[in-house]
Amino acid sequence: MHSAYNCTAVDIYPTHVISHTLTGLHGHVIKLPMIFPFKPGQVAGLTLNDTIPVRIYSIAGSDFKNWIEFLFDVKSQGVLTPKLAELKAGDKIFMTKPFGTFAADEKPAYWIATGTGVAPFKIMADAGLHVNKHLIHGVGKSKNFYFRKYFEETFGENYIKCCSREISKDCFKGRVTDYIGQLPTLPAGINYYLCGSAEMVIDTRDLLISKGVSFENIIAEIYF
Amino acid sequence: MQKQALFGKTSDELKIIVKQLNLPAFTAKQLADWFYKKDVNRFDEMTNLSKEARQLLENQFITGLSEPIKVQISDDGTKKYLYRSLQGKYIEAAYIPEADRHTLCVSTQVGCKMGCLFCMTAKQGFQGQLTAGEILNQIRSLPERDLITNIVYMGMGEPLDNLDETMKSLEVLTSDYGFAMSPKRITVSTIGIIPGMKTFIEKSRCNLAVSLHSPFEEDRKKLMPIQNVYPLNEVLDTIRSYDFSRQRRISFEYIMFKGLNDTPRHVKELVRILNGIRCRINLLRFHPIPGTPLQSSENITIEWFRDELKSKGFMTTIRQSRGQDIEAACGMLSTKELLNKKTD
Repeated sequence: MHSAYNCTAVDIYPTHVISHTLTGLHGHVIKLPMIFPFKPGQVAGLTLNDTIPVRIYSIAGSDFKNWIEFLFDVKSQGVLTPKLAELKAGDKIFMTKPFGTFAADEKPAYWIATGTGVAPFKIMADAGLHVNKHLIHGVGKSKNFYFRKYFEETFGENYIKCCSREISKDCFKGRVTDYIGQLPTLPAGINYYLCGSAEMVIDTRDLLISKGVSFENIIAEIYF
Repeated sequence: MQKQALFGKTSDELKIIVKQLNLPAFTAKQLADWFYKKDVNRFDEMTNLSKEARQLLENQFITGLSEPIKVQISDDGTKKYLYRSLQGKYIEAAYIPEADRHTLCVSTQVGCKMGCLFCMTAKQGFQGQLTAGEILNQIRSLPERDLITNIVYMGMGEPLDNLDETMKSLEVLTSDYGFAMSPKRITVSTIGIIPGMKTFIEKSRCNLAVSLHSPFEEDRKKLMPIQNVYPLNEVLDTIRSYDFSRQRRISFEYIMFKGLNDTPRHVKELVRILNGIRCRINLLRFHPIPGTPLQSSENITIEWFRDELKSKGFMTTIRQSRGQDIEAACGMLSTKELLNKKTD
């Protein structure tokens, strides 16, 4: 989830970077001290000073005590992400209190994401909510299956990797919508959680509805 | 590189530009007059500017003004205009004449990111932000421009997801140097982006409309993904923290979906959550879009719903459906044009 808004309309709090690691071809993970309580699936705003609009990111990981992590990729035309990509351990950063209600429960469900949209599902898995879940993750290049090893270990065969721009071992060749489209049936009465761009969410939602899933079982979070 | 457009710039922006060009400071006011007070579309028609100034502007800028490329006219007088943005994308504006008012509904984005289940514009995905100039061009280049009494930011896109350009366009519309329109005649509609709402409320005097569509948070989440980020109770708390009791109006938009949000339970909950907010509730019929699982409530249900809310003290109206014989739902015309372009 990424959104820009005016810094003056939101409270931001100073903190610092504990670590900054690279993942995949384009992914960055920054770890910050956990200065506020949060619920898995929530987002928080990040910025570097009060002149750069705050952007919202899903919390992607935590030990639920000392630290939280955010996953992002660099938007070349963006104002914030090129600067976030330069952060080092110890650098100052500002964040908002976590907020939002995109939260799964313990019931069986499908979690469907593209790109960095996998972030909320990572923290939900950290919280132990992965049991009875299928995770379908779509990316262009196979190196951008962020947290791949973790998800393979956590979800086993319920982790479905869709790679649209190259053929890769253990991956479905195509988009998440191609994968879902070729499934003969989909379980009824369970929830389908979507996170990604507006286009991905709308295409996937339309597809699920056309395959008999009630819109009331579809819960979406959109990058904006 | 594409030249920058000058139409839509605020007074402060024009002052900076003329300073950078080493033109006299008063040129900024002259430009604002030509753009916002007079019907002039070209730099060479700005006759109180020196010849050199006109040439300099011509060399370095474009006006950014453009006529609509298509119009659909309904039997009821509604006209849907299709404009091409500076990036060659399609946006639409709807002109809605009535006996006592002439309303123009303008777009603020090409497509939309919000993904509401009932919205045709959402199906286009997001293709880009409009500049203040492109928002204002929908007004300035409208053939019926002089008849417009009211402007609603309810076309394609979420205005508060394009906050800076929306705010700049409102400044130009309402400032003395600009179109000098009364803010009471302008309504900005949002799905409830709270930080944007705060900025809008604090920095403009225009009316606010909030898309509500269900008083129950879990149900609203299924219709509007934004509910996951900015829950309705927090949107309403934000509204309660500002004073809407005077000239300024807050209204709630409520599309009526059969069996989904049109029952006595919904009336009761609406009354509960809106308690204490002096507001208007606009009930809208749903215009089905391709592939939607949703249906509009029956007329008799909508009228009952209105009467129930009125009996509880809420000013409630049913918005007349207009332009049903053309591409009535917002986003239909531009989506069609987009698909035609892809087919070409």
